[in-house]
Amino acid sequence: MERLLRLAFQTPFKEQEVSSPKNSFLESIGEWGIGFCRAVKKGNIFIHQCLSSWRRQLTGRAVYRSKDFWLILSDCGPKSILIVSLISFMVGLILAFVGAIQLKTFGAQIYVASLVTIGMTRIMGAVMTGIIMAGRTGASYAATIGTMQVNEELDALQTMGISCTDFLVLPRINALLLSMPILVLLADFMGILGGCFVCVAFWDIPLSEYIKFTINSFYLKHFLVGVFHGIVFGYIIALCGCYFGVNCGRNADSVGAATTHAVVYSIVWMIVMTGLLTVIFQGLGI
Amino acid sequence: MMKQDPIIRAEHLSIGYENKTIMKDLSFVIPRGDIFIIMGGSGCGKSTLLRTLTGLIPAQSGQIWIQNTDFINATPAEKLEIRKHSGILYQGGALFSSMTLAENVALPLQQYTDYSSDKIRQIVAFKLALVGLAGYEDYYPSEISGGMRKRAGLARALALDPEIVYFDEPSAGLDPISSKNLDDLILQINQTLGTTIIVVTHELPSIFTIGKNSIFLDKTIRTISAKGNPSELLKNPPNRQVYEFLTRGENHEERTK
Repeated sequence: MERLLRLAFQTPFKEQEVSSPKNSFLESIGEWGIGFCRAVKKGNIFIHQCLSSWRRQLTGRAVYRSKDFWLILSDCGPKSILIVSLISFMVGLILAFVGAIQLKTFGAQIYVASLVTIGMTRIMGAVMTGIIMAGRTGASYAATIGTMQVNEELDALQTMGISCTDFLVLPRINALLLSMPILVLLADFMGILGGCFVCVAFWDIPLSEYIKFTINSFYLKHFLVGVFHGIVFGYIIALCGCYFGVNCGRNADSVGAATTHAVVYSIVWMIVMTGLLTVIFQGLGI
Repeated sequence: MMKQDPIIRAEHLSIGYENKTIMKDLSFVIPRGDIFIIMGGSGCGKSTLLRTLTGLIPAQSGQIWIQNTDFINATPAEKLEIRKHSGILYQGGALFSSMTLAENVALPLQQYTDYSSDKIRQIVAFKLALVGLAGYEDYYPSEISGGMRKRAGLARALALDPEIVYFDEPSAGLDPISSKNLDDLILQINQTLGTTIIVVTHELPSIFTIGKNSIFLDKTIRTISAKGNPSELLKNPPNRQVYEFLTRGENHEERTK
């Protein structure tokens, strides 16, 4: 009883909170700048590690299980087909609807076929596939690797002398680099199909006319630009997903934050890269 | 004789994360073949010390010698060589969830040996049998209990017949019987294989059952406040913190009256 009472009186009372001096505006900017520079450095180190892993892979020295690669590939490839098809079909459908309303005022609704074909093959197919894959696969990469961090599996790999980049990041990058061009191709086709559905069903454009205009508007350079965007987006999504997974904290909240960051940063970087590539391709006359 | 042959030596070691120092001036020697306990209250830095000794985080200052190699300044190749001779059992086992138990145990063997797949299969079966998991080769970590996961983690840690095995809170989350079984397993491995065992724990029954040597990390002074055999430390506690820790909070002044 006496011990219990003593223990009760030993309870430390909450100390008066000492308000920490607030940072001045300049100090805040300085702290933000330091944080930003650290993040850039960390990101660059990660990209360098990924490139080194890729180099090791070319010389056959990278360690990862082919079984893991096929599992990841099946998840980000075949299992994404349905959602990519549906969304791309709907995007093609919307493009055709919106375009047809505007073009009808000039009596040129037949050019909807050209609008949809060029729009989907050059950029929309790749962008839509990128956004879907960022939300689906990028988030899954961050959550899976983040959970491994929480469960100390990354520590176990490191202490076994196995590179996390080789073992976890490389198969994921490879899987997305392989599947993205195919998914972009599918998205292009489904988008054009969506446009066709609208034109034939709602705007009384004959199917043969739609096909004719589609073929006339199909340029290999637009198609290749779209596929190239897909490859770049695949790399960005895999990098962001894996980066935030590997740098995840050690609790459940951190996994949530890592997943959110992976999706947000993937989309932001995809848009930034789209802008850059558009300027470059314009400059090159492509 | 054992004390003349240290497998790990730490000198004036400071540990922590980035700019925050958790423990400083840590000096201790771990003899080869010992069962060495790193003990202390929650949040005192036991796991941080373990992470530093295994190279997961860098030491802030001081020296660590592992098998006569300066671990802090070692080249990546030297570190890899040391890691090949060390195994770690993490708190939750840290098994790779996408792999079966056999694949988990086989991973270090595939990485570091040229054994045929048949030989690897035999070694894996032997290691799993050693920890009492014979017949569980094709199970996934999610299909077995927490205690079994730890034992599977131990089988993986023992895959390359390491000279040092680190245990991070081996009894955490286990019922008393599973905890005792794991302690018996640790003793058995130490006695039969001569492996040096380093255990981070605050579980008193485990400390007294398996510990041959120990250090006590004191959060208040942020360094080691006691060294020696845990039972000896209980008999002759060097300070109040150690006595209270080893007696689950009995009052030191009352005892000394």
